[in-house]
Amino acid sequence: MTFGLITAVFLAALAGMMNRKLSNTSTLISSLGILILGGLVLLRGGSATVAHGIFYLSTLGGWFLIVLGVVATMSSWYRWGYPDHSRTTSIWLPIFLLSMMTVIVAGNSWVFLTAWETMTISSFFLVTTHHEKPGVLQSGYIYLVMSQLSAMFILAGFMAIGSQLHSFDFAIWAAHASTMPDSYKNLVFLLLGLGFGIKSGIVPFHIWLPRAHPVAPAPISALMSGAMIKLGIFGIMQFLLIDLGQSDRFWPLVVLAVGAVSALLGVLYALMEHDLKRLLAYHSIENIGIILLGVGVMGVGIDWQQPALTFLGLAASLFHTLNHAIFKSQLFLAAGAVEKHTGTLDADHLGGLIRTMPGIAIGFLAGSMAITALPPFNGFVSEWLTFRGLLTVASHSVFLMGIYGLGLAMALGLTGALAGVCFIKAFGTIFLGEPRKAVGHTTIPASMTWPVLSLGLLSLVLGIFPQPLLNLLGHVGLQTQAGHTDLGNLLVSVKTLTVAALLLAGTAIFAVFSRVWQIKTVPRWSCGRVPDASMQFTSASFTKAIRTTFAFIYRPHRKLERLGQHAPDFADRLLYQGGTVPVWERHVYKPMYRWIWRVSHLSTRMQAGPIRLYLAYLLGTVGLMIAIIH
Amino acid sequence: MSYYWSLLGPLALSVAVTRTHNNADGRWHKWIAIWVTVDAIAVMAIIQHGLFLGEWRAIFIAITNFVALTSAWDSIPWLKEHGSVNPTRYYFLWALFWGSLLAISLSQNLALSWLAMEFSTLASAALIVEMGDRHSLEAAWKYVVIASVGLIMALIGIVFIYASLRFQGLLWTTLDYSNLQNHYQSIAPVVRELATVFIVSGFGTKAGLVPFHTWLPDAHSEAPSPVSGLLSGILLGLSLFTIARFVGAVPVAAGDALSGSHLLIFFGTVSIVIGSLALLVQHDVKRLLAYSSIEQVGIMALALGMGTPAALTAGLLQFVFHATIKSSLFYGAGHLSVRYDTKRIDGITDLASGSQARSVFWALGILALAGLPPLGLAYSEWLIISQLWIQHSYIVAFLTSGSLTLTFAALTHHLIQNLWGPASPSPRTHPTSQQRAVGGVV
Amino acid sequence: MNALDLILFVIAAVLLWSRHMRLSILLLAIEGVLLSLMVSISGQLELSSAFVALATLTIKAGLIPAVLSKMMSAFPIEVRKDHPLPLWAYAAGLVVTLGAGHIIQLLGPSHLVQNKFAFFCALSSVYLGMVMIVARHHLLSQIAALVSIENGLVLLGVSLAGSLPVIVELGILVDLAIAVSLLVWMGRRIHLAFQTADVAVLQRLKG
Repeated sequence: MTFGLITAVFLAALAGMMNRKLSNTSTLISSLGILILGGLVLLRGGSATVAHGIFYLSTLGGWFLIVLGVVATMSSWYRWGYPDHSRTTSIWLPIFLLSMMTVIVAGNSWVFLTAWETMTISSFFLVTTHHEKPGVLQSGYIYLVMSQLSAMFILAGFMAIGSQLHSFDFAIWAAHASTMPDSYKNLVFLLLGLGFGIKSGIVPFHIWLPRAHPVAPAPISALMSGAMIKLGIFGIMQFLLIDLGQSDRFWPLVVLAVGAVSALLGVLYALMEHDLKRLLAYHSIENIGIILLGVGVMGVGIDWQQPALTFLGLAASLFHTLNHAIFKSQLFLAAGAVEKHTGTLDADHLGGLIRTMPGIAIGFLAGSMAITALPPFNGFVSEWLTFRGLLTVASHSVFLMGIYGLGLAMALGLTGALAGVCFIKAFGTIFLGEPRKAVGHTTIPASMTWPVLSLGLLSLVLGIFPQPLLNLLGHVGLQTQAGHTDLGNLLVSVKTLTVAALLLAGTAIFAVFSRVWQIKTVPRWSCGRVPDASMQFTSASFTKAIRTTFAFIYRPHRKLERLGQHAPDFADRLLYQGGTVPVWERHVYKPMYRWIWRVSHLSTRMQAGPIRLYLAYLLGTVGLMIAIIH
Repeated sequence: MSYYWSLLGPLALSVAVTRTHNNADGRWHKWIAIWVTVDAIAVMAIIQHGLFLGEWRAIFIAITNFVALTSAWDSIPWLKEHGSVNPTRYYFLWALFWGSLLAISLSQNLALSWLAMEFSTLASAALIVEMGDRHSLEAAWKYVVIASVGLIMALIGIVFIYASLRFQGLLWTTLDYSNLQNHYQSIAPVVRELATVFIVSGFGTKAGLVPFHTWLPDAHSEAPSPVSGLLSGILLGLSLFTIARFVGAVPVAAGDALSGSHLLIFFGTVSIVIGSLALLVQHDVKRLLAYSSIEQVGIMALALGMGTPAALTAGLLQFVFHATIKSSLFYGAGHLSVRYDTKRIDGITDLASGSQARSVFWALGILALAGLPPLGLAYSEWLIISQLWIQHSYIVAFLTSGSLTLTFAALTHHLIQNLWGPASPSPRTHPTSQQRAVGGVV
Repeated sequence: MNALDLILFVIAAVLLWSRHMRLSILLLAIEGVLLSLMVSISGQLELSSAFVALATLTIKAGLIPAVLSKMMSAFPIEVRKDHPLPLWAYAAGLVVTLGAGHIIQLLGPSHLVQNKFAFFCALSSVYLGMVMIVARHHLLSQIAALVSIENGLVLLGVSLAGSLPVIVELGILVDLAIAVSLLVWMGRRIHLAFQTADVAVLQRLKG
């Protein structure tokens, strides 16, 4: 049954590769197939090997299949209206989808790694679809190299497990990996953690993410941000937490710290962005951090042997994974619509789009509320669960550990607040106000608006009625021996329905009291001058306070130049340049890159040219070896 | 014994070629390719039994013949592109080279392997000189002198072995691998160790192990492309497997530091590191491929050095995959450098906007070489790394994995250059600075 | 017998030291004659060993000196002479000769070496040839060094094993003849292309 479904998905995707006209339909069919497969696996519960161990289906995998399926379905739907019919997409997109599915259902490390690498290369070709634009190739290359680095760490980690258990089958790992000695578990944790972490875009390995995601076509960005980076989370949960079981207590704390740092830095970097898709990409880093906080709570629960805490962490991280997939793909698809509508993504050129594309504006607003964890949207529920997990960790531990847990919770709170600022800025500058530059207004088809709105509706529904999904998560919990521990209790302190009703009532009362039906539009007063678009807040001016507060992170710099004949006193023009220092690039990656080139140059010095030198190498080496013998 | 029949094809070809006339319009080139193809198929019939049993010699013969036939077919367009090369001499030397490769493949005797390897040097060096320019002369001179000195080293080792077993009175057959295997214990341990050092470094010179590799980038990049394919794909691997056969037949005493497997692993690791490091800064497309051969041979050497059945299988797989991939890439590089009139990598640009078949072929080849699944080489490399882990050679595994990443980065760097033209994909930091001009007077 | 070994060792040393191509070629020819003499008296007098001796004489005392001197005469007078031997080469020569002693010590317990003096002379001439190929600049010197190493190797074979199998001996001889012819042919083309016979000019391919 499941095998048949997997085969069907494969066939459907391949049909799309063969025939460009079928591309949209077949991608949609295979996406739905993935969704159904995920549902089946999750409902059936337990784990099973299929096709002689080529595939291994677990409930955790089922959950991630659903995540992938949702994003893929919506992106495929969206493609109908998205005017990108290049050959590149129609060939590589099905491969990309298939490889992501295969990563989740892989039954041994060879299948897994093949799928993982195929996922990398197919997404690379998708990212470089518009290779003629400046900077795209460079972004794609950085992405490719970082992905290969991640693949090599994963390979090493798999080899470490495989050589210890004398098997590369995941079913056997699931059964026996927890018996490995602790020193070995540490090695595996380090290698696999790095491998999967790089692919999920944790700080400080995040540099590829804000480069690669924005340059891809919107449906691809949605898939990459919504589904692909989640596979790193899948790997960490499946291999490190579930398979390894109890390990050194140090590791969950590391995961928590990495999560908090990624969340905070991700949102801080996002604040300084004025390119909409780059901004969204930085928010992916932030959300991966939040998910990792949940994962860390789960790890702590496993180490403390507290099923309730384990399940809380599991539910928080998995639920947030799904939620992030929903609202992030929604936002990326909306950004794609903005780009097709106006031809640019620069927030400093845009403005007032709510009047020309109201549907997308509403969708973007819903997504923004969800990502900033405002009720009644789904982001609120999962971040709430994460909070509860962190606070439980804090309250169940003594002095230092308690402070650690509290600090993490506070970091999460700060992240949420900053994300709020960021999305007020993004929504405000792009959709409200006046256009800052004259940009085109191509009408966009309904098939681009509806997926965005349906995703918004989905996050609203999940935000009000999360219980059925949390019950489904119970199936995943069984696999981790966390069990059905008082599922009802999980949300005991927050009644989502009540909150939603209260909010609705509050809004209604506010509307009534402020008499919205009597709103009049009057000319703006601006000290007697004619108001123009350049008087509006820009994204840079909006975030100035944050930039100066966090100056130790941003290292902002600015320069004001006076131009003209009597420049010092009566300048004709003022030229303002300001910005922040990309710390990781400047102090880590660039020196490393230069260093590798230098070593490479150095290594070719050996091949200097003279034949007598070469002969001396040969004879000298042999002489040395003979001298060693005794 | 019947394997020796496979030498008939090359010999007949070399005789037949001398009967051709130079002034003919090159139509006979096709007949040579057909002859090689037919011969390869006929030889398959001889060796098929061995192939099914997984005999090394049968596999070597099959892969040698396979690459030889692709090389023969590629020689036709190549000769058309290089009118200055004398086709008769070219094919004569080519046939001798092919024959010597087959002789190495089917050899069951250490001395025969040595002789065949020496002749392969001479035939291929003469082929390099056929290119006729200063670079090829320089490359060929270095190749012959360094390889000869290396092979003399190996011969010293062989003389030691022979002298120790001379009491058997078997003359020539003393040096059969099977005889060596049965009687290696009659050889004093120190002699075994000394001979191993000489033979590993001697044949290692032909196999291109660092630091004996210095002739390799020159010779492989200056040779005619169809010959580069054979040199890189076949000859390197065969030399390495000859070492492995000797090391397998005459193991040194336990506890000796310089055992064959230790040497292979050591030189293999050094080759992988040096080979992959050099890839990044290469300018010449065929030199790039040559350095990647050094790296690939290093990986094979690791597998042969470990010597477990799984590792040997992986090494054999690596050899077969590398032979097919690298030879096709060399053919492709030859045609590309003629088409773009340069061998510089940054001169071969914008492939993607040209013929689709060409760009797909080149991209697939380079990606396969970079170790991307599901394109062959990835699996043999993974298998070898897994064996390293199983044997707890963590440092070697770490170095190998790191070098493979570097190889991937370097090869894709060049591939992007080739596919999409002049834009340099060197990562510069993205400027997040916001620039704007504020008009008006304060 | 030992006298022959000693003479060959001395010739190898002189070859290393000599700057004049004509002298080197002459020395190679003498080596060839002595080697064929040695091969013919080392084993029992059989048809095969006589044949090997004859072939050695033809190739090493006839063919190789002939092609080498033909190559030399193609060069103008001023390029018939090599640079003086660098100082380090003397030291290296001394070290490798001592190194041969080290190997004799190593092989001591194995009873492989019957005639220590002959073995020492043979191994040292191989080593001196190797020093020569590194130390010498001239194209011809490199070829001469290769031949000298090969000669030392034959000596080594005789001192260790009495004689090598006939097929191997003949194979090595044929191989040497072809290699020298090829190198001479290439050397003449290099001289034409680069206008010099110094291997130090072969430095265009690097990196």
